[in-house]
Amino acid sequence: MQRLLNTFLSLSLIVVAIPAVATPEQNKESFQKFYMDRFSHIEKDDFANGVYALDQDARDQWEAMSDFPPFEDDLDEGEALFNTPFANGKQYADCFENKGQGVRQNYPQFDSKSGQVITLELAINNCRTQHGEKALPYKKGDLAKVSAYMASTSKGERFDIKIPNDKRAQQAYEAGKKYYYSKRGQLNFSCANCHVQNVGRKARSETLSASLGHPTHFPVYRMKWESFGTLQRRFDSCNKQVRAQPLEGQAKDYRNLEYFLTYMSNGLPVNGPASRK
Amino acid sequence: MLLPLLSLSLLMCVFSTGVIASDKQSAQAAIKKATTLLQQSKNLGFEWNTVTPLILQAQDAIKANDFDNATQFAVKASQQAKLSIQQAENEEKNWHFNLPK
Amino acid sequence: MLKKTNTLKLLLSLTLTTASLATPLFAATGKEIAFDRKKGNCLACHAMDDGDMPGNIGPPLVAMTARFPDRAILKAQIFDATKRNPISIMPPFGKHEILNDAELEKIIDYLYTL
Ligand code: HEC
Ligand code: HEC
Repeated sequence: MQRLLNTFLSLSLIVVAIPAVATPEQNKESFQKFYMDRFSHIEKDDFANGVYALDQDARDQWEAMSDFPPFEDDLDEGEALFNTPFANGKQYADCFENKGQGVRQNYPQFDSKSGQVITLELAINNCRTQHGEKALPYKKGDLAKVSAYMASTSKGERFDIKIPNDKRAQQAYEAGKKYYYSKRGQLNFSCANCHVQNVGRKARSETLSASLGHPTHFPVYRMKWESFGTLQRRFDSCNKQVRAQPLEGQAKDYRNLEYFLTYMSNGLPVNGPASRK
Repeated sequence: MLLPLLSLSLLMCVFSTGVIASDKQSAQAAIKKATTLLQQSKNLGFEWNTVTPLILQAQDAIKANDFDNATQFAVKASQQAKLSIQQAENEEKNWHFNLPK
Repeated sequence: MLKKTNTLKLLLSLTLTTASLATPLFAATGKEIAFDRKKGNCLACHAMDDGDMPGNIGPPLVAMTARFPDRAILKAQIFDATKRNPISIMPPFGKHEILNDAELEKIIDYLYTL
């Protein structure tokens, strides 16, 4: 019996070891295929609407609310902030390609100079410090407003995250992937336990969304927060649910996770900012 | 009247394992141990959010000169930090079982 | 005399410790622990009893006596479901000290009424 079990275990190890050495491109294909097979009636682009792609009742409520988006004021503020020059006369537009218009779909990027993953929020703060301004707090507040404005100028552009042929970029991607699939917290959940294995099922009354499309609509204005929050702020919420200690904004693990998660949604349209419960 | 009660409580001390009266020093040592283990689990990226509150409770108990409770909270914090380190080790082996099939 | 007061202090601290760390004055029932979101929160995943808005991640908890004649097997599932199935989503309530042993036993007593 023990031997049978061992053979079985090593066999299953071989079977699952294959995706572990697959390329990011192959990972992405099987990740997207998993959801498209599971929900064959849903158009791929509709996954960008998160849980509302899967739960019609919730979608009806959400669409009723979308007639008067709760974030209009914050978004206007984001635009004003974006266009306000720094003390040295430069502005955000000077730090980005195409003056910062329509660039959301290219973030996070791997920066081969620093060997780091650069999220849009990190790039915004880098821009500030480079021009002698103080970095803003991550996850919410003015930074999230600026990021939301930048997302809004990118509506409909398709995510195109690149993993360059650089060992450090691949390592960052693999680290993010491992974070996503590892159980953590006292309650012992991986992101995948909820958003892959149990996607579409209900935890109490909440339908679990697909991770395909997770990053496309961030920053998100959550009724619960009454403000914009970045993708990493949402990571905090999910980590707290499983009693794992959330990380600092832009911690390396979070940036790597965001890199992996956004790469998985390559090809989907930018549709942020969006509102959520 | 007091005597049997006293001997009973002595007996309880001898036989009850976990509950040994602690002094300030041993309580502080227990907190130090918990803090070290917590740092270890943080470094591994598997910190639980239950551990720091236990350490804070232990520190509060020390301030209130309640060294027994301080020790118990600290021991519990150590135990949970150890479990999270064990979780990190398990996941090193098991995480890829969660990949979509 | 010194010794006596010390022992007395010890006795006092012993009772104090038990009072502060062990079961609260009004002990929760197995059902309450199972339904409590901060404790068992079994309803997040299982339909059971008259629980409101249950999730559907795990199977409904019904006919427990017939399906789990062996109490140890039932307890093992709740203590650490990942032992049997490493990717089980069910939290290891005992192993990770989410519930203590007394709470586990109470929940199991309650499950056997279902
Ligand atoms: C216990 C189950 C659970 C786990 C584990 C979990 N989440 Fe979530 N997550 C939820 C629920 C419930 C929601 C809110 C409803 C929804 O959109 O799925 C949510 C929402 C989200 C959202 C927002 C979706 C949107 O459209 O706004 C993101 C992004 C997300 N989770 C990412 C993660 C990541 C990354 C992890 C791992 C660090 C994770 N989640 C772990 C349950 C979970
Ligand atoms: C996050 C979801 C989740 C929570 C919370 C949860 N379970 Fe489960 N449970 C499952 C799943 C999934 C299974 C299926 C077997 C497996 O994966 O281990 C299961 C299986 C079981 C079984 C075996 C049922 C059968 O018919 O074989 C029992 C008994 C059980 N759970 C009891 C409980 C109790 C009691 C609680 C609360 C203290 C609880 N569960 C909380 C997800 C959960």
